[in-house]
Amino acid sequence: MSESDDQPQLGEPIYELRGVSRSFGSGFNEAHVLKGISLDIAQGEFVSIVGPSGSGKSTLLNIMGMLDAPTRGSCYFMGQATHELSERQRVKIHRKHIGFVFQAYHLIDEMTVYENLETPLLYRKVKSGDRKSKVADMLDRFNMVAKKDLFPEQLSGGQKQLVGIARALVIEPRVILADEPTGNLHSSQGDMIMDLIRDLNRNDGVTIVQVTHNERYAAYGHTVVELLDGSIDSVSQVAGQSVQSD
Amino acid sequence: MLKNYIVVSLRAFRNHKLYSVLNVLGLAGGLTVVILIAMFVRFELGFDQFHGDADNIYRVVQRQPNNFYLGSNEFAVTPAPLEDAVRDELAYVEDATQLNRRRVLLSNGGRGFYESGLFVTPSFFGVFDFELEEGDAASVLGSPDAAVITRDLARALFGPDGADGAGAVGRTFEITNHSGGRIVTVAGIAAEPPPDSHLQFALIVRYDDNDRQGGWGSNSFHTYVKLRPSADPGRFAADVQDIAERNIGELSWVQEGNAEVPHFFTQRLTDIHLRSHVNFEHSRNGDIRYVWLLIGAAALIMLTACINYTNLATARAATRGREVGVRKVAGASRSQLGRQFVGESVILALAALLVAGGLAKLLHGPFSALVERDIPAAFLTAPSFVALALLCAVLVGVIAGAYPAFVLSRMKPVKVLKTSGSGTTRSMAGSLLRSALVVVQFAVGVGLLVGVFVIRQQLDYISKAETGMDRDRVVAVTIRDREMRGQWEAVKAEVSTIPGVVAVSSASSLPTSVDSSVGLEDWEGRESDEDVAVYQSSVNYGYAALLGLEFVEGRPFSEERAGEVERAVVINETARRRLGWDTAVGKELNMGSGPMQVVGVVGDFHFHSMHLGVEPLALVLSPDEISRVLVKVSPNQLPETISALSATLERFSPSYPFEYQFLDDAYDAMYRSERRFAVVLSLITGIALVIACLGLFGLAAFVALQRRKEIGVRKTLGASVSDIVFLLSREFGRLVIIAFVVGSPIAWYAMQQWLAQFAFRVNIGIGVFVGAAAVTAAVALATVGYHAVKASMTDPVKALRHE
Repeated sequence: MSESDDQPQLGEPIYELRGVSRSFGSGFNEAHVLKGISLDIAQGEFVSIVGPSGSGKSTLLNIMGMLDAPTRGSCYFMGQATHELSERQRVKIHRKHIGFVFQAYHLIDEMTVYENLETPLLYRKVKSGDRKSKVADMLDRFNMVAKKDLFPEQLSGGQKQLVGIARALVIEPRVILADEPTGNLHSSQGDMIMDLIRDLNRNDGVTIVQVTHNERYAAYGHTVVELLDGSIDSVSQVAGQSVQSD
Repeated sequence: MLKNYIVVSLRAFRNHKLYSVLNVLGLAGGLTVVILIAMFVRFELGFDQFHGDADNIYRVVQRQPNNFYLGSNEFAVTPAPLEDAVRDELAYVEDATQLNRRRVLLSNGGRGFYESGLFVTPSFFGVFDFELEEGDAASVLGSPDAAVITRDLARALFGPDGADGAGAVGRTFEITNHSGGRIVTVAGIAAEPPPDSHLQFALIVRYDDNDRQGGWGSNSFHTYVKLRPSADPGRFAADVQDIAERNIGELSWVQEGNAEVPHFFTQRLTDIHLRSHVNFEHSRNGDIRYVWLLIGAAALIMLTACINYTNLATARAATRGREVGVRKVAGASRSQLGRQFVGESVILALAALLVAGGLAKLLHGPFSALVERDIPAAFLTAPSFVALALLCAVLVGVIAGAYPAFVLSRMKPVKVLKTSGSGTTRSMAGSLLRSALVVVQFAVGVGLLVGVFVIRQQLDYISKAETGMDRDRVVAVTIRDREMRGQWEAVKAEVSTIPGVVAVSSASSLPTSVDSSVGLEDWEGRESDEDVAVYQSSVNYGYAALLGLEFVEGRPFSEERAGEVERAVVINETARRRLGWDTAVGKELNMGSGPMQVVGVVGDFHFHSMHLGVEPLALVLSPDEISRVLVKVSPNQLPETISALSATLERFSPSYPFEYQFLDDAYDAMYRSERRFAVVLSLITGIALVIACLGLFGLAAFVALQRRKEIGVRKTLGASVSDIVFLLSREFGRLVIIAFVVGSPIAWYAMQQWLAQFAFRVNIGIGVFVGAAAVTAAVALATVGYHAVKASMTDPVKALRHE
């Protein structure tokens, strides 16, 4: 991972959420999905957000990913208040630091595996030679060299999610936000994906925030945040897990 | 990045074949029409530009304020001495020439053939740059008997040897017209004149001394003048008028106050084809208004095609939401996405242009025939034309893709990525705009349909109109042989014996276009000083009966009575009214050749096209005048009758070919340009509707897809197939009605303008609008109906299972 001035040191907070609320609609129909969430996530941490359907897990993740904005409160990413950023600046941070993994993979159907991996690099204006080597590294690392010219519909669910993770990782992000990454997978594939995510956290120091329904997979992280009806019900440390230092 | 966009676009096109085909077809259809019209416009605008000094060449024409002839008081002719006068007196005139078009009989021994020749002064090639394949422009017309012909004419006159082998230069042939015959010598071979020349010829003959007489009193020569580049064209016109005042003003009849000096003015050579509509043009000119109309039609077609793209792409935006979301999450900015989607539509437009280019190449021949222009196929590949087409396609791509790009790039990843299925959302982003665009498309359709219906009605009215004359089964034979004058009795006797001939008569001009006009010198009971001009035709016995003219007073000419020849006249009702007579029989009038007595008055009939009103007419009895032999034939064995007629007349006149036409055809020919316009507009309308339907078809498909679940629920609740069809069609039906309300008044106004050119015209009735609405609605419903029925037939269980 490349060093730069704005890179926070391990253990320093990457996310600081202060009283984040999000509501939809207005008046009688107003639905408060998040109610005053305050949460710190340290660089290199692996956080699992759990909770029943409708508790606001995905909304929280979207706000952290700058895909959505809080109606009240603020979310600081690497010390910057996201609501104070212009669209252009948000896109910039996005490109540089954040990788997304989705439950439904969200690969682009019209693109091959190779091209799906290449797309984020294109938006970062990475030079052709670097692009090729980075994509090749990812294919190599995930054992997908033979599948590089296949289209998403030719892959199994696990393979698709592998591509999804590789795509998130190819930009060497500070943080990966994963929204139920195993939700559509069989358990053996799910285990494989979760092992991979844990490796990323342990070996590469990538901060992970995942939303999950699965208690076993929640335990892959250091910290489990339980949401209930838009508020944090509990924050617990997982036994035997602690933030690793290189 | 660009490569990535292109590759993804192409795959997206492949994966959504219906959508892509509809889009490409719509754009390609539109672009094809635009290309063809652009070729036509370029051809029309480029007339006579091939002459080196085209911009410095002018034609002198004149206006005679009180002399309206066939609807215009402007004439393309001038007095004979004008050429020398401008050349000698005006230092800034580089050269000048005069010419006439004359139909002459050509022969090299044996039966001759007609050719329309240009009679010219020796300076013809000094003014014009027509290419000479043999002969030198400066000297080719040096000899008084010089003629220049095309290679084709050389072949026709002298056989293959004349065209190639020994050549035609130096050989002689005979030309004959009404003033007699003479021998001319081929002095040069001219290349075929370019199709975009308003002067067309196969034969150029130098005038001989007899051809150009009459001094300043003559008025039948076309004068073309080449000015030096530094000359002031405005001053030139003034100087010509000055020359005319000095010379024509000296003529005795002008001095005596019987005539005025005409007002002379000039026309640019390059303006003649599209902007000149004076009497005695060389050929039927184009019309700048039709050029503008076609440009307008092309713009409407392109608008329709662009709207198609916009609509289809916006509708499909719903299904592309996931791609947008993923790209945004992957770091795409809004402007990058916008560029991608605009780029996509540009690629599609370029693909469509490729298809359109092929189609235009294929349709170039039929289209040229349709518009009656020899448009060079080379236009299609001319670099400037290709560049313009590319620019046009890119522009279309940008315009058509701008809105979908806006909609797509605006999408919020949070929303579009929420659903896991196909990425389809129920959101009908921009559906109001889409509806507005569909309305525009169908308003264009309704408007064009109203136009087509009105034009068809008018043409129908013209062909069925009661013109006061029975044109049916009347054959008009053109007689050019002056030797046949005075042989009327013999001709009539022979022709009458042919089985199938019902009646025979003759006249000096076609009854459907009497083009000779004189000012009356005097008439009985004349009170005012106002001059009355009458159209006149010399006619033979039996003329009125053969054409079924009705007498409102008096009787036709009678062979029983002596002394009627050149002394008796039959007038029409308009003439009687204009002369201020209640009854005309027995009264006298003078057309310049002494007093004549009116023996009868016929009811008004149309002896001009419907563009013009009915004017005063005088029919003068003149049995020697047989320029047009009129033969009424029976419907049976028509071919036999015609060939017997041909044999009989060729016996009288062995060296002249047999020329004939049916009066009905001659009548129809007067509306040729209107008929052509009707066909072109019908085609454009058809294409506009098809393109609009392509768009509607695609839209309906998406709406049906989006409402799949709703339809499923409704069906489980007991909705019938027809309920669902109605549900889905209703929305589009409403749009068509709005389109009708928008399009009709505009079309009504435009068609009023078009009809104004006819003195006799139909009223635009409600039927036209009802018809246009019905056709549009039927077409729209048929298009939407397919999807509506298909959607209503789907199994609701399947549709709902995905939830």
